[in-house]
Amino acid sequence: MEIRGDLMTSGPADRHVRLGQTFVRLTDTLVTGYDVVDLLDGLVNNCVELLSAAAGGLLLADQRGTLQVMAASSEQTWLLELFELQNNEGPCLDCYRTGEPARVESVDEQAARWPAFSSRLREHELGAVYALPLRLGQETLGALNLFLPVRGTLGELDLRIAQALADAATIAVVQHRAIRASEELIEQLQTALNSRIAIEQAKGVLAEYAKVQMDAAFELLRGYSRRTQQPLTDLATAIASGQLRPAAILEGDQ
Amino acid sequence: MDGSEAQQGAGRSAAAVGLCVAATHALAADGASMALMSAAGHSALIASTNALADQLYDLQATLGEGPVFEAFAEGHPVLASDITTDESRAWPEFSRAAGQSRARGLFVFPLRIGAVALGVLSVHRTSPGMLARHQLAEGLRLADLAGHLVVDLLSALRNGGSGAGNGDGAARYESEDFLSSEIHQASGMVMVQLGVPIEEALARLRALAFVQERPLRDVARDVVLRRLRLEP
Repeated sequence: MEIRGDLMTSGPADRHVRLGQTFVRLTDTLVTGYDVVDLLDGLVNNCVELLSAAAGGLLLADQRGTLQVMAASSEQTWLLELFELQNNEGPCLDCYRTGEPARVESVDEQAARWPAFSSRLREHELGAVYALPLRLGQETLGALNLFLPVRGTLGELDLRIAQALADAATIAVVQHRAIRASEELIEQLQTALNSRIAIEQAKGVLAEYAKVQMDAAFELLRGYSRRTQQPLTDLATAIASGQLRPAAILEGDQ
Repeated sequence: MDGSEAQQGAGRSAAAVGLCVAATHALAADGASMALMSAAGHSALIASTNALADQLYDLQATLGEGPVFEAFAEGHPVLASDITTDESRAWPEFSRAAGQSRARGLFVFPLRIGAVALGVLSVHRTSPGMLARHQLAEGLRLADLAGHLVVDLLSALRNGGSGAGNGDGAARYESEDFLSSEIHQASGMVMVQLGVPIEEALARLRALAFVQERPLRDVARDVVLRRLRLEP
């Protein structure tokens, strides 16, 4: 995992352009139709890149109140575990419960508030952490979680950008239709969460077949999805249900 | 809800009936049923707590439409506060016919584990009204349980013996973390290792966990970390 210590990797004008492009791409996708996991995956990666974060992830709460990872900047196990840990303590849990952004930049404060989470952050040389809520009216659906490298921080503008991306994620998840009742919202969330399970299943199939790690398996899946213009979730379902052989995914990857 | 009616289901899986009873209580409802369904359009009732639950299932199977089909096909819960009056739904014939029965509220949860679609859990009430938030949460949790239970039942049938799921009822699934990514990754890996459908892979993992007296999650982790391989 690449940790960028130097935050000034591009000038403000360049970032303006990239930010504009991010939102144009997002809007296009939302209008023309999309696979929700794929969109969230792109959004998280854009966010991490734009804000020079070390890593990030997007979590949705299921109806049991557990925060589930929907997308992450890396599929490496250590990062996914860092998100799972946050069901017990951490900025995402605080953010989800309060509906307010959570930020802790001081290592001492992290250690005081979240001892177990904090020691994992130290292990992986991470510094400041942030969580932005995915808000829908009075509801909080989940959080956008960002990890900065040691000595890195996000300024107020950065946080506004991150919140705007979190809001875009909310729109992507609920599809911004006129939601008649909260049951429809629940139905949408269930579908998104189940899509993620299909992707985990497909990752397992590919990891075993190709003898690669889980993050490489995800790259294979995503690469094939893009090359063949097939939605990520449909592809994952086809692989996990046996309709599509894993060999087919590897053939295209020359 | 009458205990003797639930007894009639004893010939079917006791665990499945027990789960339907639990769902009835948790959702403050009047009955429940569980059915297997396939993409090819086959379906079979495997548990039910009373005659009305049977009737609702039969009606939908006969008409070929209804919340069970919508829930199964779309992969999300179909929640109807009153099946006799909600006109914006995709099952007008069923809605009309249901008026002849005592059922009003109907809440159908698909049994799904990622790419695997197994069937539905249906819960009905004889008075109209929507589920409360916590009841919906319980319905979803029980549907998760039901999915895993059905996976084990089907595996037992396929392998012609007592699968890991028999005898203990639904209690053995309570402590597991169904949404753990490792369990699903491991299922995919075992699917390739054994050359079986993914739901069978999951059943084999659980059977192994049962034999080793370890949580499923730990066995799954060993598979993902390549410390453990399942051989045909």
